[in-house]
Amino acid sequence: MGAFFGAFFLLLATGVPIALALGVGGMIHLYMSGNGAIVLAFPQRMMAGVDQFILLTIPLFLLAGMLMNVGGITDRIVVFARAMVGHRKGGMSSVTVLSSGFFAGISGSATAEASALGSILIPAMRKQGMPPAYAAALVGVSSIMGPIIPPSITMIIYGVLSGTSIGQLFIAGVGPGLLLAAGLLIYAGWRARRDGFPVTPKMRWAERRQATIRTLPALVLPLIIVVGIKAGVFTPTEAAAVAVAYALVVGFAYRDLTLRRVWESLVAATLVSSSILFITAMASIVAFVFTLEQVPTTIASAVLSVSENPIVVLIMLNLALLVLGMFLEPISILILTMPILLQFNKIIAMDPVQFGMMVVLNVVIGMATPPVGILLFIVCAASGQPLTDVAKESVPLIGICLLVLFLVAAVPAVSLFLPHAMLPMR
Amino acid sequence: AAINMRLAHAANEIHPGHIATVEFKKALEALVPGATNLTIFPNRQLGEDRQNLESAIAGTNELCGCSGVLFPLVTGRNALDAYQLPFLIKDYDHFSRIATADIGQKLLDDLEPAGLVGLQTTDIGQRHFLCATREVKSVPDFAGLKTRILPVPLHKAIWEGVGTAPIGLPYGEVYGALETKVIDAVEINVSSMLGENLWEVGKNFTLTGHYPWHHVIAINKTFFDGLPTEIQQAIKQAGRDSIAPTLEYTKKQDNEGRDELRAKGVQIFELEDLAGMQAKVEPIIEQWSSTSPLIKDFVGQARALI
Amino acid sequence: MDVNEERAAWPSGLLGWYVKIIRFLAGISMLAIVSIMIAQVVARYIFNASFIWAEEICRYLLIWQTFLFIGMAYHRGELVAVDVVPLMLRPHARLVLKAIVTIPILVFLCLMAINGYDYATRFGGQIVPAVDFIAMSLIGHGVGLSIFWVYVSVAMGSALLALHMIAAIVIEARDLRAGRADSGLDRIPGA
Ligand code: NA
Ligand code: NA
Repeated sequence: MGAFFGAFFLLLATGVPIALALGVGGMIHLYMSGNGAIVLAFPQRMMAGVDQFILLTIPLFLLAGMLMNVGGITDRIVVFARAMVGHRKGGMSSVTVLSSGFFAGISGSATAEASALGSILIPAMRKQGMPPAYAAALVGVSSIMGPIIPPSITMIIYGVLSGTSIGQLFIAGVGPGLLLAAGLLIYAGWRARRDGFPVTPKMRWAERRQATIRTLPALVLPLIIVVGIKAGVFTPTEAAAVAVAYALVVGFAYRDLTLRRVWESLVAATLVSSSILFITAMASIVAFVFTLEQVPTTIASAVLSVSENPIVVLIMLNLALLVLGMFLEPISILILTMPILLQFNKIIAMDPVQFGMMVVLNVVIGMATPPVGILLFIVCAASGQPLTDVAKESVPLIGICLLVLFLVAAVPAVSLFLPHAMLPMR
Repeated sequence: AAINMRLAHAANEIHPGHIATVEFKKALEALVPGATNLTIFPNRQLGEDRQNLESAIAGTNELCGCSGVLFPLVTGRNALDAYQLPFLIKDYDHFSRIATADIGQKLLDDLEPAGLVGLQTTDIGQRHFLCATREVKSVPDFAGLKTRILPVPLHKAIWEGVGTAPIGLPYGEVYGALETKVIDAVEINVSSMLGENLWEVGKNFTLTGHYPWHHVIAINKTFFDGLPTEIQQAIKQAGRDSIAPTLEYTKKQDNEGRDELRAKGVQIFELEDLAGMQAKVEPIIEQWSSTSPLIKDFVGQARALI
Repeated sequence: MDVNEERAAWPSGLLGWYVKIIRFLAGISMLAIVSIMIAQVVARYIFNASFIWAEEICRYLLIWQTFLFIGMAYHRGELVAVDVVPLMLRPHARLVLKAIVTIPILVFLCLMAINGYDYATRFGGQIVPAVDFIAMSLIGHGVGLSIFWVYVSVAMGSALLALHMIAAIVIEARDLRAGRADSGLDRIPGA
């Protein structure tokens, strides 16, 4: 394992894409351990890693996000959020958090959210005189709500890998999602007051009503998805395709969508999805190498030799996931750690849905932590701000996310209240 | 030094597919104590059936345990389909007789051109019919039921013949699809119903026993040919020796599992007109026999060995 | 993301055709996935029917999407990387570092291309059942499409990515010599 991590970090530090750092690290590790012949099996593992029906949610949700962006849905959400909170303390920064929350309800992916909202909201906040690095950090960290508020690619993948009900995971995400939104709103308000950020003029009621009506079609998507899955119209995987169809319908109804824009979105979604799935393929190689050498068993027994106290195991597990989250993206972490995670939960004995919620929140927080944080990269590119400044501004925001993580881990009702209220049978 | 070998399979630890590999290992160690060191990777640790089978063919893993239905797909040699011809194999004892007979061995030997030495064929559970939306008690009840099957030609032919609307769906999504009624039904064995908790979402279980779910352990041929003769013989013998104890386990699990399912609130039905169901799919046996002399031979032997 | 920008970044001729074809395949494969999945939902829920091949075909499309377009995704800077250390270096040093770390990557990709091709050939005897199911319903008999055409995607993708990486270094070196020193900056991840 040492050879792998040595090679991986060295490659990562020299600017090698994370996917290739994983693959090359796996190869070097095998040659060093005298199992070089197994490299022959890599192409098969790469393919097997992406040969899974659920992974179709990745290009599909990316596409849905892009279509909403070019189809005018994103703009309308921002206008709607402005009508609701733009005049309150926090101004555009509160609008950002609220827009993220709404966008999360129609998008399954944090990256889609950060790229869609970053290009609109960062300039808007800047115009109000907020420091650009803070604006970027707020968009980046708020995007964490994307995979927490349903629908969510990360939850679908967690559900399938672990055998947890995806419908229940989706509903369980609502509570923590609202907590995230509340926490970020409070911070944005406090920060605005401290630094004297201006507010936007209050809209008249007629304007507010109009903004609501114009945005309503976009806002019912999460309802369609949850109800559609529960009523057996489609599977969670197919829900991603339904989201695309819905984005198309709404986009054409808003008259913002053109065939040309649809085509460009199809191409762009494929290319972005390719880069994500390539990481998945490479993570599968590493998972394969580790399994062959029975690393999960070794790690599990090492942890358990430190302590078998459930609380201690729980804390160690969260710390380990947060550290992994600094360097890897959510799907790779889930692929690599799932065998160990399930073993640990036998000791922690948490409800599987709450446990899933905790793990998912944990790994998506990693998307906004340096050095490898795709959300930070996206907002840096969108704002032209250096990574170090944006990372600094995101520290207190990440702190809020960690607080929510703590609540999710410590208070079962945060995740389980809604699923139990809605699905009492299990 | 002991010869290191890895065996990968996809079944969980209480599943007969895992027991088959454990029994094989036990039998091998009894025959040549200390000569081999077989590590079993259960539970999809190294991949799904298809990957495990391909790895054994390629030699990156020495052995695999894998659903019999995958062998025709991956190796292009279709003889192993014979086990799943509808209603041909009657029960576990019948399976045991045919799997240990010459023809059972011939089907395994047929894999050699594909680079595999077949060692053991067992049954991990006779398949029945689980429906989430209605009680299925007679043949007309099957009509139009959205039934999850493995998308292979033989199964498609059988389930269309019975009158259902077969649907291809990843195995991992069956639970959710039954729960939300995206599909009505699934053809399944008792151990998988218990192992995947399908009883929570499907309460009507009809005992059709349409075919067994056969499971094959095979070893890479190049690796096998390089072993000392004595070890080769022991490996082959261990394959034969482990058939009976595995089937014993499957049979016991199947029978006790039914009681367990009843206790969990599953209604278990016999099909009133099983003969009617058989008649609907009977032509498939002739159709498949005409594609391979081995299958034809197998059908004749199976009927003789009842 | 803009079409014209994409065109300007690429030479015309053979490479121009490559970009055109890749973009066409990217769009069309995505369109196919969306259409098949929506059709499947409609067929099953409304007509109580099902395309037994749908799941398998979508998976194979996804596999091809992953590997065929990875080279282009790399070119567009979609592959997440941490550029902090390289950006601290002077342009020449940065290029040298990049060339050095590219060596093990090229070794890896060559291995994947060669072994991937071997793997595809070795299992080429398998046919794709989904294609036969489709052919059966259209022309009444199977066509026996080899699974080689799915499995070879890994080899193809690895080779293309290797070519893209070599091209990136060559272009950067040429730009450096021509005095356009900051060409490395346009590879900001997620851009
Ligand atoms: Na979401
Ligand atoms: Na991170």
